[in-house]
Amino acid sequence: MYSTGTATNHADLFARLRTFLTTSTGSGGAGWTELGFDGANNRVILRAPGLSGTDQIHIGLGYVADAPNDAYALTGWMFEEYQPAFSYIAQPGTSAVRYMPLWDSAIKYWFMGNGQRIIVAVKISTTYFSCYLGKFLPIAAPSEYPQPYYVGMPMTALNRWSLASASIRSFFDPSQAAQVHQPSNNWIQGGNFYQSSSESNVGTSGGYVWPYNADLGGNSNCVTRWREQRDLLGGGYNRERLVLLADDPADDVLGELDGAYAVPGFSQASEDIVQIGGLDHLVVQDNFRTNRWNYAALALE
Amino acid sequence: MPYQTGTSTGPADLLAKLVTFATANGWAAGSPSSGAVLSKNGIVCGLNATATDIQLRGALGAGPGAWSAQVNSVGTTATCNMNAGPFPAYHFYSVAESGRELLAAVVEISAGVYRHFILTQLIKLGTWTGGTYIAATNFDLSTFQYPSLDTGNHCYIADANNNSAHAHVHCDADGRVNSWSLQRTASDTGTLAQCTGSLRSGGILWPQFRAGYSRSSLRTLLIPMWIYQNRSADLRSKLGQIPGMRHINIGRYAVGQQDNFGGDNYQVWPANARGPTHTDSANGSGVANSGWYGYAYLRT
Repeated sequence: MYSTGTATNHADLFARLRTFLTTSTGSGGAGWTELGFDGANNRVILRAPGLSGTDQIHIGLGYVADAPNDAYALTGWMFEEYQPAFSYIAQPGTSAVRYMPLWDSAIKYWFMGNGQRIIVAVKISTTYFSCYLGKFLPIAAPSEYPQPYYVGMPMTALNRWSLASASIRSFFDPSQAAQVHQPSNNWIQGGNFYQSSSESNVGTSGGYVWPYNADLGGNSNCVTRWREQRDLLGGGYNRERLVLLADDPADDVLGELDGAYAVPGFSQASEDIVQIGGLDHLVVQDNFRTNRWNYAALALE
Repeated sequence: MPYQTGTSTGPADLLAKLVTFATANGWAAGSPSSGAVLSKNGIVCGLNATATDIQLRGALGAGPGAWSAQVNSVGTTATCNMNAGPFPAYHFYSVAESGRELLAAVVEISAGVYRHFILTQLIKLGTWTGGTYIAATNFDLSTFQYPSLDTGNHCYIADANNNSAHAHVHCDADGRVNSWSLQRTASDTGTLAQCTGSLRSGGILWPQFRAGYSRSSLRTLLIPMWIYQNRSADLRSKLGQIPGMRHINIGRYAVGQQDNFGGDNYQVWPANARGPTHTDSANGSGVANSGWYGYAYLRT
């Protein structure tokens, strides 16, 4: 299911997202259950049913505003189980709360949700942010990897949308703001790149997102190989699966993100619609980055 | 019968047996003035046996000339360097995936040491003329290079490291017609009539190979074998995928082991010789070693 439109500001975006997620699947929403709403703190606790309808995938969403500094953000986090007596952000097995920049003006948005995850893309001025919260597709049975969760958010703290840093990145080529729930039930920091003196490889990660990067064994040739790619001969584009790999605590392949793909930005721009495999995909860039290799294709389904 | 195994006395015997196997599985054998020619569904390849090698040249049509001079034959020979034999075992595969054919030979040239060559047509992406891909493994046998996993002197199938061009793809790109692109290292983006593959250490799929398998499920990845065409401005377009076989990290497999992947039965072989770890053997030792680089062949 997907929905697109223009919200009046950050608060309206949150309200629309809440409505989209809790609207029944037959009505064009994701059909999640709202377990609690904290109007004072602008937070909501949601439970997604999974693709089977029998999962209990817990996701927290909210928004924060720092008007004097003109900083606004969507917040997102996940947790292993829900206990009503506990604070929204201190549930059992919770991740850290992460942030996606917004602003207090009109926001064009795209919501792409299903029973196990939500992808949100927004346009803020001329930049595009996107996030992923929910389950990914593990290379394991549920008994082997019961909670393969990815908190793919761009920032670790509230900052104005215009902050240009290699550590602020979209979920498909993340910074260390991303978090992966590993088979050991630990939330572990993911990420491909971070801001050092310039954009630098995250040398050890609980969740690289290939093909943009995956520095396993200190070999990041895949970065170069990805950045060489252009459109197909005769036109059209190939979508590349987004594979979650890790070398923290050990080399591992965790699974694939659901509904999002790497696509070369050759002769493309954000908001292009490309049809791949008979399905429309929204092309979005990573934040302010517009190099050929900074684009993803989000399935509009 | 899409699979056959046996023993062979040497390259000439191996080639004769491959032609018999191939024709029994729908491939046409031509009548060249030397060597052999096999063709099926647009794939045409001239083959020749020397005292120690199998030689291959892709072509765009079969004719009465020598194996190396078929219609629009590639000008560079792919050589699978073996030895004079006898060979303890061979394994032939003739399978199709997504309507694309693969004829493959896995040859145990001495105990635990393997060679591979394939005739295939890529499962293509995009819209272009061509797709026939011919490849052979070829190893630098010098004592310093043979133990090295990632040297450019070796040639693997769908290789991203090799300099020796023992693989080629028919690809009419960017105004070229009846054009063959030689497979070379991925670090060379500047030569246009050239292609590269997706694995060894220089390839885009290296991280998946390095991880190898899921630590939670212990399931090993079947890694697709992709071919890329060089384009202008040091860029590349993905051409497609080799059907019926995959890259695989064989660290958790015995040589020749079969395993079920999503309902399909694959058989696993080392690219050269399975190592106890995925590291180079001692420099100068001359030991055959491909670590955990391997191929999984579809056995229907």
